[in-house]
Amino acid sequence: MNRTGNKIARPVVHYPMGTGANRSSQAARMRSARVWSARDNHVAIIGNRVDFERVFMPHLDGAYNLARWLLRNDADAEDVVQEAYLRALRFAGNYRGGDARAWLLAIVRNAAYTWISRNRRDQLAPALDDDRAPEAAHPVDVEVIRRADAAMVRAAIEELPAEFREMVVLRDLEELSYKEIAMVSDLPIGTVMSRLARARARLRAAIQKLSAAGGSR
Amino acid sequence: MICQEARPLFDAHLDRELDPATDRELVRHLDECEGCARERDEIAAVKSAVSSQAGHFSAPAPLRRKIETAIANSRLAGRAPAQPSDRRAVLSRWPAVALTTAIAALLAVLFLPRIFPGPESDFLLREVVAAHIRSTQVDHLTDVASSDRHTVKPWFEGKLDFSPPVADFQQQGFKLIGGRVDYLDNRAVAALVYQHGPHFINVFVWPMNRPDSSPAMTTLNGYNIDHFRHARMNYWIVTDMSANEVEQLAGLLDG
Repeated sequence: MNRTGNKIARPVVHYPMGTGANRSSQAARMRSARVWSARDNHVAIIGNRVDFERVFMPHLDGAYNLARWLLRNDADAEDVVQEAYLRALRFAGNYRGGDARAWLLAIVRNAAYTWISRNRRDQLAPALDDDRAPEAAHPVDVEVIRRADAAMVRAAIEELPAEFREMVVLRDLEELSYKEIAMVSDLPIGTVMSRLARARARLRAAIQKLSAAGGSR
Repeated sequence: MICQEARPLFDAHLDRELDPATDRELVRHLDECEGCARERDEIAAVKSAVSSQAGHFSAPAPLRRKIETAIANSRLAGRAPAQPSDRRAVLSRWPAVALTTAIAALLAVLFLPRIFPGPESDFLLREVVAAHIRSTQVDHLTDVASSDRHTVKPWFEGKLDFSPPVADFQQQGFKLIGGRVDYLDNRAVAALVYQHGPHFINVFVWPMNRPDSSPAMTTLNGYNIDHFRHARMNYWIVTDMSANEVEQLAGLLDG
C-alpha cells in the first residue's frame, strides 16, 4: 500500500526529460531547498474522513483550476479532479503532513497527464531541453503587453505546451512558491525556474503576435 | 554581473525567489543596463497580464457535491498502520487511555492504604478529616442541635452501642451545639459538635479497649487534628481553629 501511495505522491513523468533533470547552472544560484521535506515528517494526520475533508476540500478550487488549464475543457477537468480526489482518498494514509495543497495538486497533475497521454498525446511537447536559456528576446513594446485583454492572454496561455502552461498556472494563478511547484511537478527547482522563464518568454511573443493580428483586423 | 548572467534570473527576481546576495547583484546590474531593465519590465508585464487577465476557474458545484459524497461514503482504506510516533493515533484513543488511568488511580486510592497500611491511624486520619469536611459542607453538622448535654447524651441512646461522654465547655469558650452519628473506622461513632468563635469543631468519640494515650497533634489539608485515648474512649478532634485552641479543648476533654 505504502509503495503504491508513494508512487502517486511522486507523479510519473509522462514525457521525455532529456537532460532536464540535471540542475542547470543558474540552479546553483537558487536557494537550496529540500523537495518533499514533508516526507520526513512521519506524522500521519488523516485519521478519518472529517480530517480528509478539512485538509483537502479547501484546495478543490485550486485543483480544478490546474486541471481546467491543463485540459482546456470543463468536462475533462471535472473527470480528472474527481478521479484525483478518489485517489487522494484511497492513499490519504500515506499523506505524512506537510504541504497538503502540493500533495493534492501533485495527484491532480499526475491524473491530468495520464488523461492527456491516453487521449491527447499530440499535445505534449517534444523533448524539452531544460538547460536551454529562454528564447532570445525580440524587443517587445511593454505597452502592447499591458494592453492585452483577457481573451488574448488566455489564448496565449492555451497555446503553450502543457509543461510550460502548468508553470505559469501554478506560479501566477495558484501563487505557489518555486519549491512547491517543484513538489507538484517532481522537478528540480532549477528546472522549474528555467521552464517558467521560457513559458513567460513564449507568452510574451504570443501576446505580441496576437495583438499584431488583432490590430490588423 | 554581465547581461548573460543576469538574463536567466529575471523571472526568479520578479517572483522574489532569488537569494538576497544574488538579488542585490542583479538589481545593481539592472540599474546600469537599460536593455536588461527593459526586458525585466516586459517579463513583469507578462506576469501581471497572466495574474490579472487569465482568470481562475472555480470548481463547479456538482463536482464539489460528487466529491463530498465520495468522501462521506469512503472508509479511507489503505491507511498506513499507526506508528509509535503517530501522535494523532494516540490522540484518537485518548478516551480509553484516560479511562484506564482514572480506574488505576481510583483503585490505588481505594486499596493502597489497605495493602500498605502506614502508621496505624494514617488512613483513619484522612477518614476523620473527610468526615469533618463533609459535615460542614452539606449543612449536616448536627442531627440533634442542643447546647444541653442532657439533651445530646440521651439522643445517642439507641443509635450507638455505647454512651459517649458529653460535656459542654461554654465557660471555657467551646460551646456544645449538638451531636450526630457518623461512620468511621468501620463503625458508628459519636460526633460531638462544638463551636469556638467562627470555628466548628468535630469531636469523634468511640470506645476502644486500649490504654490511654496523651494528645498527639497533627495537621492535614490545613485542618488541625488531635488524637488521644482516655477512659477506654478514642477521641479525634478535627477543626480549622488554631493548634493552641485545639490543645486547650483536648485538655478539657482529656480531663
